[in-house]
Amino acid sequence: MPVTNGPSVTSRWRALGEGEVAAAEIDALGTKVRVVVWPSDRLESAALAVGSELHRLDKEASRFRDDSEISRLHAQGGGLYFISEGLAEVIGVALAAARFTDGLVDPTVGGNLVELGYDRDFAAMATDAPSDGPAPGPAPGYHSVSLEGRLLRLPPGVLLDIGATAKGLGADRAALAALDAIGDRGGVLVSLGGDITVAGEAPIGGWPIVVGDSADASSGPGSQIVRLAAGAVATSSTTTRQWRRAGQTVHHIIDPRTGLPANGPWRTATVVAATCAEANAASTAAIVGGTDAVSWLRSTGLPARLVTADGAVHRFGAWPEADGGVVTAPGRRMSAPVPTLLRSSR
Amino acid sequence: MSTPIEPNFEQSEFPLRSGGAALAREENLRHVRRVSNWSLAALLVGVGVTSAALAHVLPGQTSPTAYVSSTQTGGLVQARSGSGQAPSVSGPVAVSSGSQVVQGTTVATSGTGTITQGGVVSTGFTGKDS
Repeated sequence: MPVTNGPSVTSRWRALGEGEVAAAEIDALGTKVRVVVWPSDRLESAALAVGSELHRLDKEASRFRDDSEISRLHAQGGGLYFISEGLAEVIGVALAAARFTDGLVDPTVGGNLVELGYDRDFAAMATDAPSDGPAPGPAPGYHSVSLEGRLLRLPPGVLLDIGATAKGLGADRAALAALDAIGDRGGVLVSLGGDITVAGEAPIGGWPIVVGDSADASSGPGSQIVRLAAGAVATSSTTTRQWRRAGQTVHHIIDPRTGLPANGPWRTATVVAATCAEANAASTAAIVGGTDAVSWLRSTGLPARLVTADGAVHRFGAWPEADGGVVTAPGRRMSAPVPTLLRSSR
Repeated sequence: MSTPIEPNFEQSEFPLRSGGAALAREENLRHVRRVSNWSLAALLVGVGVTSAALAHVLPGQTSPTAYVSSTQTGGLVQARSGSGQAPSVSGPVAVSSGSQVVQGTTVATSGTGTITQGGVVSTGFTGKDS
């Protein structure tokens, strides 16, 4: 088969297995990306569609590429910008998440992450970054950013980090694109580092997914298998993407009220929602809000599974008790534009 | 203690006048004012509606493309009805946990490519129930 890779390709899809469903995996966006599809002969079409969506998201919103649209915005400082439709969607979803979570998730924490040393791709970070500046303060706040259509007003000095919603949005976009690519019959699952969206017709009983609270938690006492027929599931955890700054262990989930890594009782939060962007926002809000987030989470009705620092598991909403239980995504709670499919392959 | 307010007819907008002609004139003035007010209101509404319509077709403002509606039961797209052909999958096909970190990959694949065979087989991936 001819291969025509663009200059940005750094890895290739690896086939994982094939039966009536097929799967492939690739390293992208600093994490593992997986696509699972049935019928199995549509795997290549689905994978290529997913790859295109990941590339699109990376070019729009990566803080770690100098040539991404958001990096070029940051380089220019504050002002009024007419941005691309795709980046407008990314920022629009991030601002919607901020409103949805009452500010527990806030895209203006970019400066805080940079001050904490998370200013490059995680794999390239120093294992123990020195502290060469003042301790971060509260984030500027999402109210300081306005977006009307494609018109973005960004205050001077504000750096956006859309990490709390971008992978979710990417999974949503990729699942839609993959579904479009496979044709009229079948279903797809797309996982971006554990943020998962399913689309189309699920296998009988739903897609079986392991939910855990560590990066390698494919089994063990802290994990559970659930089945998802529609919607999305996302997990946020303080146990991954940790580094050391000035001798102290820090992580990537920032509390915008303090500008510091969240320090609540939950080390891992998993939420099921209609879209992965919404699930991602809610799981991050749970980590940031701590015990305060419980009442908020209950008010949303979203099924959730929270794990405390000592490993105790708490279930909320309609999260199943039993291993292998079906978890159902309720209707959309977060008021945000649903992902766009830029062009149809059909 | 508050001071009661006495009516002050001398300052009222339409002081009392005597005579039928004056009454008729007042009535006509009121009628004209009513008509004018309604006309102004209609004009304002018309301008608002026109502005809103024009705002959506300003050059450079593209409308969202191919938005996909969400369902009330969750999910990005309407779940496809059971075809009777869906497989039954026993083992887990994905893991949702803290985001895994991989080395040296900040960008994704694009364009066309190939899925190489013989790669890593994921834990628990079993495909169809036997």
